[in-house]
Amino acid sequence: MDERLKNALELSNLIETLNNAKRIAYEKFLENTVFYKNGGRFNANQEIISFCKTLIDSNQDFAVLIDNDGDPVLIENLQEFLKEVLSVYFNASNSYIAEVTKINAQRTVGGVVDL
Amino acid sequence: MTRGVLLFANNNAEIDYLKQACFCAKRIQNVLKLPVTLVTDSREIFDKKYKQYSTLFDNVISFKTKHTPTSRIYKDSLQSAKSLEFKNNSRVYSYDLTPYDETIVMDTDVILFNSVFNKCFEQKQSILMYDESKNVSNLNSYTEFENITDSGIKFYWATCIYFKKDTNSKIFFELLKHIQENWDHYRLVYGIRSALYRNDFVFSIATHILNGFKHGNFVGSFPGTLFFSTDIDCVIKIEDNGIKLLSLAQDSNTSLIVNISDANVHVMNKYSLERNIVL
Repeated sequence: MDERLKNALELSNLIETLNNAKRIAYEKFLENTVFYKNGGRFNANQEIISFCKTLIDSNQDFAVLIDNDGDPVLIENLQEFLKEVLSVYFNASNSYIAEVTKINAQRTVGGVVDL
Repeated sequence: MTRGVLLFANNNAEIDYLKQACFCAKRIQNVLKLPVTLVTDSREIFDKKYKQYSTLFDNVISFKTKHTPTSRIYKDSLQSAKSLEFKNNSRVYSYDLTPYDETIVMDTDVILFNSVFNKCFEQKQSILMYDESKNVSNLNSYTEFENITDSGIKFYWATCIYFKKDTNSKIFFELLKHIQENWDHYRLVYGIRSALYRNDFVFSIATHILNGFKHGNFVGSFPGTLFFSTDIDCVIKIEDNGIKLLSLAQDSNTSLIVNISDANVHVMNKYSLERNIVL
């Protein structure tokens, strides 16, 4: 095989492996952001963090939030709820960045999949 | 409220589902810390080969349905494809068989590496299932897992089911039994050409009916992400916190090595899984 083509195919294989590993890491991040409160299912994401902070800054102690399934959920203590959301988000995002950093540092397929 | 996991293991001539069940139960105990009940039609084999693992199970229930098992193709990657007995008729009896108030029913070839399944008990819906699953490599397209037929209803995975015993789940499981008993009728109504009885189809049809013959929220989302690897993929290694797989494209010209840790994986190549299970 032409050496140039061989190199290109090897690089392509590495890129595909890297991209797949990052895709899996992202799915895991999304999974880790899901939490349940008062029977409702939420994602600890930037949107809910911003909304809760806005409500708190508007002097709201409690509020009805709409969960991932479109159901209304009463949150009696927004400050506590925000702390919980931030904790879930930081845990998930810190793990995510650690994993992606490790993946991005790899230069071989074996390195990406830890073989 | 009691909580636990229900596993079904019915061996055929080549696939040792009991061995898979023992491995699965070990992981459930380590990761979920939940009791496990095993339902099997192969009790004699269990007592002969796996008696020393009986402590993994709260209960071992002997159960055989009156329905004649079907057969399906079991592939071992691209090396072989064999037609073997497929004894999958018992799952619709989960409500009657489970000793728990809240139950997770799962396939024995789901390998657990995190405890996200425990989030089932933090939510309020009666029944949860996955309506999507992520392939480990995306080398192939799996449109057959979006709808049960090309123009058909939404596909729900019967791989992992959570239910709490209440009126809704009782009616659901009674409907499942009805659909199973009248499978030829329902598969024709829903445009399923293959006569092969599949739990995924039956559960999807029951969900569709209970949603008023449309898409709805009768069944909630099972927590977490379920990755799946098909029967043309191979397991390279199962470690304590993850699994390495060789994933193949169906055209067999492309392959990808995949390493998944801290996530749950449904491994469909049962031959490969069995070779890599260490009890």
